Amino acid sequence: MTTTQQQLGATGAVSRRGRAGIEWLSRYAAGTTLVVVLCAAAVVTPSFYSPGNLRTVALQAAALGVVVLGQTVALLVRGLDMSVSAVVAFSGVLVVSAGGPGMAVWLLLLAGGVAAVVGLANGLLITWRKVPPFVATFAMLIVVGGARLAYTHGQTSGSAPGWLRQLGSGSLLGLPLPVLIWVVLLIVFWLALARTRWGRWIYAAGANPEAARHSGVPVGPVVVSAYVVCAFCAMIAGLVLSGYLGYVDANLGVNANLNSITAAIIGGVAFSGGRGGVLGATLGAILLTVLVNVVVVAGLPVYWQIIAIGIVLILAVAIQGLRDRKIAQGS
Amino acid sequence: MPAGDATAAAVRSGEPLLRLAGVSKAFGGVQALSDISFELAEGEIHALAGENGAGKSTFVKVIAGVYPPDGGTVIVNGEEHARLTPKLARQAGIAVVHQEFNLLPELSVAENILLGALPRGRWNTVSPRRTERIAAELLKRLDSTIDPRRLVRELTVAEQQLVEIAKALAVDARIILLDEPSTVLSGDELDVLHAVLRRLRDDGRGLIYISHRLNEVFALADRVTVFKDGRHVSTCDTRELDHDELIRRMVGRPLVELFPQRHPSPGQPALEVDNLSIPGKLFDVSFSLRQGEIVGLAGLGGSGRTTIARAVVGLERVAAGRIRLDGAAVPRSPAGCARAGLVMVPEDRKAHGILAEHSVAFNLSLPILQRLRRHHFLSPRAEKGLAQRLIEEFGSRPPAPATEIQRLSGGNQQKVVLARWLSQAPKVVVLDEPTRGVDVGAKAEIYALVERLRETGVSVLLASSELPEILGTCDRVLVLHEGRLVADLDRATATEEAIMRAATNSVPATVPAGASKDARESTCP
Amino acid sequence: MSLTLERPRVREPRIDTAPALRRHGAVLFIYSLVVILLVVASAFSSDFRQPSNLIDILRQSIVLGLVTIGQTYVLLAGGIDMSVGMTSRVVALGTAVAMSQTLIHPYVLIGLGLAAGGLVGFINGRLITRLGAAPFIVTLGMMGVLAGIALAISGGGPTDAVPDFFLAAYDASVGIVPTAVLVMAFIWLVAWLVLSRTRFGRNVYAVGGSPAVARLAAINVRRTQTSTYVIAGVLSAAAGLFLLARSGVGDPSMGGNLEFQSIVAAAIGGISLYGGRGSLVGSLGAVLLVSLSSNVMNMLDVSAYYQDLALGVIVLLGVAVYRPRRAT
Repeated sequence: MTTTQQQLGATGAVSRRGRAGIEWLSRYAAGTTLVVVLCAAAVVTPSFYSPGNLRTVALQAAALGVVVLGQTVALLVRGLDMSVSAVVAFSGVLVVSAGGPGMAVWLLLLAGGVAAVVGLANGLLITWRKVPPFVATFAMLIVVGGARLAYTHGQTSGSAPGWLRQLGSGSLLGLPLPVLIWVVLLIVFWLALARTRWGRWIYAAGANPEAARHSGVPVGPVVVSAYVVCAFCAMIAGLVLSGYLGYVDANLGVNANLNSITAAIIGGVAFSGGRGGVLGATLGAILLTVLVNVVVVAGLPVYWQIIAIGIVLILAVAIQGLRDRKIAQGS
Repeated sequence: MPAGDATAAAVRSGEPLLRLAGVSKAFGGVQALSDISFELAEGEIHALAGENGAGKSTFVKVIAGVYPPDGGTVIVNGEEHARLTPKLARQAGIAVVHQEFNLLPELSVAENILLGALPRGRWNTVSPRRTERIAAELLKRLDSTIDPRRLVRELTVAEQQLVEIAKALAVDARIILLDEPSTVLSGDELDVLHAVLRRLRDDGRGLIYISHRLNEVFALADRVTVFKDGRHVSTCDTRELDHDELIRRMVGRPLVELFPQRHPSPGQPALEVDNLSIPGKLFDVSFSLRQGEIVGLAGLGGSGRTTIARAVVGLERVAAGRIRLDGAAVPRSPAGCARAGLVMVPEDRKAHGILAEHSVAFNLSLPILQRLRRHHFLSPRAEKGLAQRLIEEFGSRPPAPATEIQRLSGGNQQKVVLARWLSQAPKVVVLDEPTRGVDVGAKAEIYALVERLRETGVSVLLASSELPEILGTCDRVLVLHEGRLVADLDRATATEEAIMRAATNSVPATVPAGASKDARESTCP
Repeated sequence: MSLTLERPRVREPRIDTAPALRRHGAVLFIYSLVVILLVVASAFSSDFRQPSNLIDILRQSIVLGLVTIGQTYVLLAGGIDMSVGMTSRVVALGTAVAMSQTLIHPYVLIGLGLAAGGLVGFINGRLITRLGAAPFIVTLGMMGVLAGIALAISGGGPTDAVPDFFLAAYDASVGIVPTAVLVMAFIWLVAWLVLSRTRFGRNVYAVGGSPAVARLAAINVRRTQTSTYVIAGVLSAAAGLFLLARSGVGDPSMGGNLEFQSIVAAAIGGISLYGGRGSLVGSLGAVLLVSLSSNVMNMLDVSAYYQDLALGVIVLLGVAVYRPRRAT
């Protein structure tokens, strides 16, 4: 402690610059990397930019992006949600049980209900029973996943109802509907987090729950609401994905957990809560999707995708760790 | 790791175990210690007295090797140490028993005592039996019967403290510092501790004992040193002093012109607290606050000031008692209280007050977000305007609203925290250590603010360990001693000494038979 | 976690059983569940009672057991390891491929496999201690990297079969008890001894309880933490090798979910996710419980899907109903 103080005193200028550098990195790393990768793609694998491929990338990014929005909120309140992949998969079950357009409302209500229950369960386990978020949401992952398997007996048959398929594959103004839905949700989330009381409460509860409580923030309900929101996002993503695919896929959303967390962290959302935003997380989601796609388009073996993501994640969290250290030294 | 030969040599030569000469230490402009000299002889219990902020904890940290002094020398066992580190301090035979124990609750007593130096058994394993045996021996030397196999978390606080002392014995520390050990003890436990310490002293060790309880100082210590404002005031044999004289040396300073003119004119009762009790912390505390009145809450560490502040806004579970705001029962949550007009500014700014990595504006607007709504959304312009308005009220060099709050000085941070609550036009404001870690300039501004509040009819309850602050701002002073309200002094009778006396529950000195007043004029510098 | 000031509570001297009960409540709960399940299942099903079935339960617990021991060490020291599953997969696949495509002696390959696991753990530990980065995320990233490597090794499909003698290791037995079970029991014992009877073990608890206090006691916090990751890595590698011996070929989906399962098993077994508290005895109980429940449900012909659900409910209950004291 003391030696660091001394070091800081003597080399304050250098450390300040170092800190500014790390700060910049943590904020703009995702965007910069994305630009770099896009430029590299233009040179190395121009086929990346073919309309068909771009469309695929956009759709995949949309699916991940919606989940990331919810996961970001969970991360912001110092938690995380490992149950999203089960919720995404569960939407597949619901989709099968739906019928014609008349059933659309019921389907949506049911989907909303399931998401609400899962989110509430997560939130209450965490705030009321004080279960660590990882364990609570993972337990829900098993329960929801098990429920789905039990209900469907592993059958993956069934096709999505027509109206949903239209939603998944339709376009408006040249943009695929799923992408539009994603953009709309992104705007909604950004507004909610930046411009509503609830959003402030989310940041406050994650940054310093005690201080937030002192300032009158209802920390418990706010945290529960974060998990409900996250479950809703997963549900929406699953529904849209099912519509896009046209059929029920047993492997729907199987990587959603780790990918959504990775995307958010890469995008600057702090694992320790209270810092970061949906814009950065969305950049992270886009970066992730682009990386995965570029690997395929460039003809590289598939495993490079995962390796690349893993490395990027480690780098991202290393930057966060260094940043936290510099702050601790400075104060 | 025994201090061994060096100490033995020092002992034989009559050298003091520990000597400080001209030691100074400053933190960012605040001079915590100035030109301190101090001496600890072998086989003595040397008490250290002084108010909060006198420099006692910095003193402890310098000796423990946590802070290197800016100037002066630290001589341990006759050896001068230029760069004391915690490790070197331990090797030199210095051990510290802090107020906050450094124990691992999930490990056993024996393991805690010998942590890092667990005795080995066969095949390089740790031998639990030997560990327990050694621990038991150490505890026996302290006349304690704690079972070394028990887990630390199962012990009482007094027992845990004994474990901490046993840790000191484990490294054969010849110099043991105890930082306010008695605040967590009572009655019999105190006697046990004193007996233990006397044993250690008779063993030839030197003990530095920091305590607010002056009775204890006189009962236990051989010598007492007084610090005030980071300076050494005096060092005397305890037989040559009495309570009043000691208090006089601890306090008593010219009042700096920090405090604004006061125009008290109190009105109706605004906050009434009746028979507040929290098991173990507060006992039947009753007081009331009138409109436009500033009432101080004074007392030593652990006396219950912060507990009362927290209990008033519902952050502490109350076992008995009533709290009324303008006659009506007070809501049991900080949010509810804030809406009703009762706000509390917490003592620990960093943990409970600020959201460190967010902007000043964010911090300011948190409790009043509904006011910033335009068409259902928070308006950044409204927020900025509010932030600027509030900051301007706070005087010199207002920070930009977008600045990250943790970059501000302590004083400015505190002003932001205060402003956050004041924007709600509260009726009663409870302040807990409002100027801790705040520079002089900001202090004056804060006092001016408090006075302005009072002029608008707001009631202020000011809990503080700084007596000048209490005396400079308050109309009345409530003094707490170990959870009980022991004095209600009005401005006329409140002096630093009176408050101290009540806070230490000291009986006014009686003249011993045969001694004259003059003789009590101490022979001690 | 140092202790703050509290008002003293007057304590009457208590009989020794009460604190012992409180201390081991979690563990006792788990084992009573195990015993109850054992008794009930044995009473109802003669098939269940068969020694071969009981042995099988033990054998089925080996993989999760190995990984959970490693995870327990990491958790106790205040960390978490999300890469254990992928470590086992990479070592399994790598060893399988090496066995069929190189002439290196299998024993050497086994040693290399274990060393590789240790290396992964070492890298994890260094990244976490040097960079001050969140263990969860770092090991998550490592998990991704390893998953990719696994995919690269296997090319997506199963590898060639491993030599017979390797398979024999799985089947070898002493009487009716498979050697593997005996070895596993030995490993549990050694792991427990190290944790409770060596300086290193005590250091692990100290570091997990409070790195600050541990540092004051001159314990090398970084080295202790890194060591736990190395242990987890080596044990995960061992689990992978065992998986390989069990199935005979390298399956690209091996070791999936092991990280989750080991963390949850440890949590149910009383290991605090914040570090510094819990015992391997509890972890063993949890692993046995999981294995036992699986077996019972198989016996009852419970569809695999309901099994998952049931497991999830058990986990939820275990986590929500009885909960060990939380750290502040």
